[in-house]
Amino acid sequence: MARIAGGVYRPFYPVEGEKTARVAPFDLDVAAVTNGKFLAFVRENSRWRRPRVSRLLAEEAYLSDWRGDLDLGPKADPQRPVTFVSWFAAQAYCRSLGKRLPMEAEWEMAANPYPAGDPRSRAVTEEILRFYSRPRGELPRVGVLAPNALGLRGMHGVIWEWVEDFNASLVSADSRQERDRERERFCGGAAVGAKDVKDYATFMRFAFRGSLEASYALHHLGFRCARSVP
Amino acid sequence: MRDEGFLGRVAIAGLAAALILWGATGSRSHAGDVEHAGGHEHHEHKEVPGSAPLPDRSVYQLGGTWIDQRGRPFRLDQLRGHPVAALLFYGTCKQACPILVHDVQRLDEMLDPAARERTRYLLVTFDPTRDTPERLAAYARDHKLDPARWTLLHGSPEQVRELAMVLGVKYRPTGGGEFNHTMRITLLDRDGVAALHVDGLRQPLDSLARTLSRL
Repeated sequence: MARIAGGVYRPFYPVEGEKTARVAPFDLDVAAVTNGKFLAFVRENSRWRRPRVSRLLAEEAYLSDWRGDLDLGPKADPQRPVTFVSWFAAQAYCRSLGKRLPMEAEWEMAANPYPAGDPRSRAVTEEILRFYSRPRGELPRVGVLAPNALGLRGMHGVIWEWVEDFNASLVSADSRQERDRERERFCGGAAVGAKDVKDYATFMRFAFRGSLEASYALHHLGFRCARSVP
Repeated sequence: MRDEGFLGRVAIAGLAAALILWGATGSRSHAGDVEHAGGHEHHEHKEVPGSAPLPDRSVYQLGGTWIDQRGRPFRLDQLRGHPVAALLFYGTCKQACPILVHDVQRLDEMLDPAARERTRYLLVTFDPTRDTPERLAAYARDHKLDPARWTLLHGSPEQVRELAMVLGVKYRPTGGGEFNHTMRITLLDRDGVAALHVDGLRQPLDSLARTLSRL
């Protein structure tokens, strides 16, 4: 794992009265969890095998690129990121190792350690947009990816990643009525707007998270684990 | 007082997310077959409570022990055998939650005596720090929520998040003890399978009452 210093995070979608959040130092896996590691977890924890898992916790597509319940087969290289995993499954994996999923604020800080407006931040954004616009074929093995400034590999350019509080992203995105109706659907009022509307890459990431449900198992959605620093 | 810019951006975000999902998975089947308001229900579980394994999609699959407003340990599957109206809320919410709770009380009043007798109400707090079991007991007293049929639960932040996830409730602490959250009432059948979600305040309650009477 890599130690991330923490600091002040400005929410991308601040709601009224919400300015910044303080992120404490934490550790984050250097790379996404691989098929090989997830297979070891599933071997140990039979309730997370495909035939056993509750549909409440993982939809039908769960681990659907594996050849068998305990057999990766040709489509799921042990060195490549595991995908087709639900939020519940990702969380259970991290807990089995005494870890947890990163919070959105933590993940976002680790993904782009530069302050907004810094030219290096712009370069990160452009790289991410290139990734978003490219059709994705086979996923690369996690070890071959170049690390970012914090030593983290594949934060962008490989897969989408679960965060613990993905259900806090874009909390009002699915109510497209006028503001008065929207206020009636959400306690505390709706989001007042993104902090930087030009950051389309971040915008897409938040929109994607906002569209997820915790049982979803998607082709390009995986995860890495975090741990609080005592 | 419309903010066209914000709404426009939300529309773009929704589109982008839809395209991404479509691109990632092709056509996808939805997890669960929960109907939204106005639809009809599919679930036909008639087992005697506790005698059969829980259905795969039962919310009670979550397990874990909560603390109720009487300070007693409470497992969600203690509600098995009863139709349930469930919602997440927090006690210090000044704006919308009291209206939402009042909606559920109105719903209760619309039921016939037999349906009232068997229905249970589940209110789970987003804010375990402030909403201690004692505070939940005071809340129940203030709102005249009969403890025989209304359960107010306190759990760990992890338990709350997992329950919110299975009920499809989005929420976010916004500092100072406030939460931004979905207004959603979920009806659970006698096995804890979600049968109907209704979003928003002051929704027409007759379809909920009809559904609840049939569960």
